[in-house]
Amino acid sequence: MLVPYNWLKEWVDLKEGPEELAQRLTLTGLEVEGVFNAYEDLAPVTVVRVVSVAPHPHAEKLKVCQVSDGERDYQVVCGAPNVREGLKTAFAPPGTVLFTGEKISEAEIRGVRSEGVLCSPYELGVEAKKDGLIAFSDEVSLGRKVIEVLGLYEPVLEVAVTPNRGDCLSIYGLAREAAAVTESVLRPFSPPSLPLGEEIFAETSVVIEVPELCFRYAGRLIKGVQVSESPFEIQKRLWFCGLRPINNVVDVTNYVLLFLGQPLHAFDFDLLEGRRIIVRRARPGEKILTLDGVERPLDEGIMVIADASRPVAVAGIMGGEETAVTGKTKNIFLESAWFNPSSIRRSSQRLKLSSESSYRFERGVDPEGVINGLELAASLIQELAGGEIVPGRVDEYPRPYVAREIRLSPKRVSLYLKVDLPQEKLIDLLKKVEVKVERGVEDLICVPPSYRHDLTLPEDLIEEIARLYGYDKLPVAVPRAEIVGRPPRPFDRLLRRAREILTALGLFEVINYSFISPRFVSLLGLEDDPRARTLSLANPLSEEQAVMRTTLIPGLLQTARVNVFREVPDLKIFEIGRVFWPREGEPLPEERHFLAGLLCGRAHPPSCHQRPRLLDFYDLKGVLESFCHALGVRGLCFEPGAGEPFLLPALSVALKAGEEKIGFAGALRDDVLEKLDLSGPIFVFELDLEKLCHLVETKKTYQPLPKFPATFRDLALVVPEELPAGDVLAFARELSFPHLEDVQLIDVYRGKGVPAGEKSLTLRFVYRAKDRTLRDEEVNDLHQQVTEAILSRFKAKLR
Amino acid sequence: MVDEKSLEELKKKALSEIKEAEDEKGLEAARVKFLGRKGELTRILKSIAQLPPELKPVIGRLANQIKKELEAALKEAQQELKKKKESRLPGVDLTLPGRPYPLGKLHPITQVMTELCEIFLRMGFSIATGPEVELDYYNFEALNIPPDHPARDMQATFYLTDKVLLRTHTSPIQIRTMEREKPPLRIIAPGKVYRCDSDVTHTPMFHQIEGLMVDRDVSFADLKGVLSVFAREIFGEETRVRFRPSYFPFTEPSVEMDISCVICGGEGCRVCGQTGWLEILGAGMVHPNVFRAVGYDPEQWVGFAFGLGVERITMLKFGIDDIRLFYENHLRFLEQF
Repeated sequence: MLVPYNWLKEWVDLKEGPEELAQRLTLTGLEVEGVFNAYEDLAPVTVVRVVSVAPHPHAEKLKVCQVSDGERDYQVVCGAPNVREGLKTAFAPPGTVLFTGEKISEAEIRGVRSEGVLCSPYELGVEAKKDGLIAFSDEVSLGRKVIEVLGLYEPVLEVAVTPNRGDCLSIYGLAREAAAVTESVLRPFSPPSLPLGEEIFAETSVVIEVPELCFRYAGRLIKGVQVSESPFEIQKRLWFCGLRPINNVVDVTNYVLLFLGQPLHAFDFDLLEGRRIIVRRARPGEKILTLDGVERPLDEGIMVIADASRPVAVAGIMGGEETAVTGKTKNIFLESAWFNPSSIRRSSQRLKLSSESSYRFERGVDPEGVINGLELAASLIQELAGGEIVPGRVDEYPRPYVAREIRLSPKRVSLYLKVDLPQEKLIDLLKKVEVKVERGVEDLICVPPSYRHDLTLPEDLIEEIARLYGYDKLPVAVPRAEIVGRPPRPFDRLLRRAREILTALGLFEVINYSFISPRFVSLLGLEDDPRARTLSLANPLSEEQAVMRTTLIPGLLQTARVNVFREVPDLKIFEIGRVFWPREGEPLPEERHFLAGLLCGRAHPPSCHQRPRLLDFYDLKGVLESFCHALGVRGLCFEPGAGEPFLLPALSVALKAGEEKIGFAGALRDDVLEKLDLSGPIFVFELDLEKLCHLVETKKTYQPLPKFPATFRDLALVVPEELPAGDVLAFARELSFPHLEDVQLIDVYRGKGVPAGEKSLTLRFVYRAKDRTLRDEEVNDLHQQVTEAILSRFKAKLR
Repeated sequence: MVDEKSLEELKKKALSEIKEAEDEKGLEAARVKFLGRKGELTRILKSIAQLPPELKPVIGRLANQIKKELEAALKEAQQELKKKKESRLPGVDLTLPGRPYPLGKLHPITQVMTELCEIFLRMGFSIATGPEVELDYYNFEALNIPPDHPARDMQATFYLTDKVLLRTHTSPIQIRTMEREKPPLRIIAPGKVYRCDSDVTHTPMFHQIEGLMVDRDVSFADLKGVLSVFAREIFGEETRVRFRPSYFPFTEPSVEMDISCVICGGEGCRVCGQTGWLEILGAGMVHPNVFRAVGYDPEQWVGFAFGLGVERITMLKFGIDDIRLFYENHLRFLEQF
């Protein structure tokens, strides 16, 4: 909310300047986001001299002027009668917002380019004079800011009022708050006394059909008004608060809304059918053309103000165009009401329409302030627009305000705040915010004022006491408590270890958005995959972020694009995050932690020690093997062919624990790369970390170190090309011969000495006895048996 | 005929040859030449016996002295050579860069999140988690934010359905934890949260850490204490803190904590908007309605809760001026931390 300091000061005798007050309000709970000059919008306006004036070729009343700010010249089309060569006046360049609300842009005016406008005193918010440009004396130098030359300064506080403090959404409300938190005195406001009586009831009536939505509805009738422009001072105040002047009647309703926080609405009484008001729910099929020029369909969830036949306003939000006050209006029905905040909020959300009124109703208007607003507005309308106030006022009040009683225990105050304040002090602090306090036997019996909807519980009063006493004065302690800390859960530890290991392996961690484009399904060819079933956001920011991810791969591909397109072609990255799988019959999806990675480009950074080479599948597999090894994963197999539609079957593996697939790794297919505008090879992997967690061996048992030396024997085999080396290695490792400790695959060879279509595998066998050094003959004998076992299992020859 | 002069010349020659020897081989040659069995000096020493008796002692002493000098010079030269040899290997250039063993790095958000969590873990808090796709009930209603409450405007929400949304804060984990566990409690809940906002200071996804402590005798003083310790640990011992009243529907009293600006130290600069203070987290005493929602008796239990934005703290720590950089994941950015 924008609060002109000087308006505030009319109601509270502040000793603090605007900045000091801002500081004080901020420290007591109303954050002031800044203090600025209300004329700041006009800062771009500068002093210029009219260099030449020529007639407009296509418009008799317009002139084409060249003006200079001392630095450069501008061409401006101008219709002011007093424009002449040599005149020093004000020039507003494109982007300036004038007092009238007009935003200046470069324009063609009847075929002639205009680079801005020359301003009248009114357009600068200086005085009411509209015809003719402002004129400066010769001493004023060119190019100076007009707001400086004229000393246009009006300090305005921008206050971020929290949703619980609806009572501070007005000048008077803030004056009250300022008085409470400074040593200043609030000037009491009392409404003017206006004629009472019964005459109004002869002219109109108000019926509230929905007392649960409208607790109070008051009104006045003013006859014979002259609708015209408001006095300049009123216009200026509205402008300082960010509102635009419209006409004297509407301006008064806005002025009172700003001053007291009571929303008001003025109807053209003669346009109300049946000359009466009904507060009711809208009927199905009803519509209303609201003041913003939009026709809006209504429904029963929306409260309206109706006349005898149709809705004439959306209650508490916006009036209707058809009954609006215009230049022709003679008689006015003025509404001041109190509507149920939830109802206003629901209607406002349903209609996607909010206003200064609905903003205040939602946050709670003072039910006891309804009449003050009505009386002030009626008397101001009469003052500015003339006419007669019909004696008497409507005041339907089906749910009168009942003051709340809150019992506050001083003990609870000291339990919460750890400070022992005497009862007198508590009472004193609460009185500052107009809470009435009586002493009970043990408790204080407190009655908050009608405008403080936020004070309902003892804790609310404790906050008032704390903030008025000063948060910074309250003691500081370190909690004493039983030790309730618990060790980290195994899964959290796994996440942490996984991150450490992957970075040690040279991968960078990335974090992508959890929402992705639904196009990932066709990109990855997942049309027939369960991962195509995603959760969609009802209100995404863009189509690129419209569905919750079911795999981390799309995010990594996006990251790869960002990097490759911006000079980082070599990437080793990983992400750990949740994927979201919808569950049948459950409102919430299954959220699983996944790990995914992407490798592309060169294997090593450029270096004088290594020949550059591209990453290949074995880099990918090596990373995963080392990762699993370091994490202590047991029983994870790499099975050729990942079965993923976006991976090359020949260059991908499924990661399996027994029969269960827990992930995949491999190279992206060329058609996928093409769709991404990337070139390969690009390797990706993804693992279900929650499944992987079960494979982590948590219990480790020590193996004694060997006391006797091992003996090595190599075996070179020639096998058919199609025979996977892994099969031979796995078979050899499974062999159970005494003293056979380990088998390694140390060479794969094709070429001279090995027939085409075949390859040579060299296996190294490690033999060791626990209790002695093996003799050569023994080892030879064992190795012979091992060799035979392999030769009989595979179609292999010795080399 | 050997005389003193020729002996001196021999010494001079020998010393110079020793000095000039470039390697072990040259040195050995010099040794053999002068001190070997048939070496020049050896020969002289052997011939002393044949000298006239009056010359014997003089020449003999001088020759022996030269022998010792030469031996010492040889030894020194040998050591010199050895030193020289060890100091340089052929083909080795110590100024070449090392062979790269590149390490990866954790995302800056992960790094700071870990650091933040560790501070609270040291204070006896444990980690709790909850779903990112959440029910309206946990995200709002149980936190004292009923359906038509204007406080819902404070958090622009992504909805999946009327009742299901992306959590806008980590506070629902408070509710889920209290529903599951009996007090006393001391938890922190780090995680991703979502709001429909996107500009230089907002991304639609970001990270928060929620904290909750519930016990029989926890006060506003403890809240101030715990959060002051936290601020000094993360931003440095000289950091000053300030507590301001604020409003969150699920705490009462509510508070916002500011720290003295990490850029200007409180003098006033662009980052702190000339105020000298930076808003860093929101907190408050747990609202009795929140306790009621989870079945804790508000007469028996008191608590405080806080929530802080990890991105904001990370940006302040590293001087990052655009939050969107975190989720572009450009390597040139990530490798800086």
